[in-house]
Amino acid sequence: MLEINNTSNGGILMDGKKLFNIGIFLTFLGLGLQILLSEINVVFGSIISTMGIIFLIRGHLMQKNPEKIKKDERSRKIGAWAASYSWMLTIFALMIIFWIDKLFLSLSVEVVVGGIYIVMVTTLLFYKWYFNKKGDIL
Amino acid sequence: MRTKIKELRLKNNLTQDALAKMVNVRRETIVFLEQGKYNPSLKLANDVAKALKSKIDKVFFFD
Repeated sequence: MLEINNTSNGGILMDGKKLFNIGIFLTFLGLGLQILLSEINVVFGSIISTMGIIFLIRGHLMQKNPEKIKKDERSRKIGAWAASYSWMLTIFALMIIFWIDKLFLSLSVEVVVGGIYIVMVTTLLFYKWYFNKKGDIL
Repeated sequence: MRTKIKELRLKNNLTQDALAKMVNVRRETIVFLEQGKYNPSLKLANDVAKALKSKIDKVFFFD
């Protein structure tokens, strides 16, 4: 049975080694399902293996450097502000994409979704890095 | 914002890591607090002051 410890700051922290092992299991389970169910549904297996890879990486980081994974009020505040700045810039990017599509060239769905994904992730990571370097959000 | 955290921490023979564990934050949060770069919540300010056996107004100074 999995042991999940409730930390005093409200977060849920699972043992890094267990998370890593679950990650390995899910990755191989997903790969197996992709092979076995390839004619029925590849998406199901790939979702499970993607989850497995995420667990695997997080479990490894928790074992290697638990301090970096630990969340406190400063990291939560920075995360929340970085996410809101990222959303704001993504809306701005959407507006630009809309006018490019309307006035200049017709964009495919893949280009729009890919563009939004890149803008959102890169701006989130950038603001997290910037606020962390600065120490606070102001 | 200025703080006397470093001075009081050394007076109490505490490392940054020990103080961080006492108030349940990352060590780097203590580093930024000591540098006056991070504005803590009232709860964290109170916890830090208690851990340093002092009062909030003797630890944090808002100019």
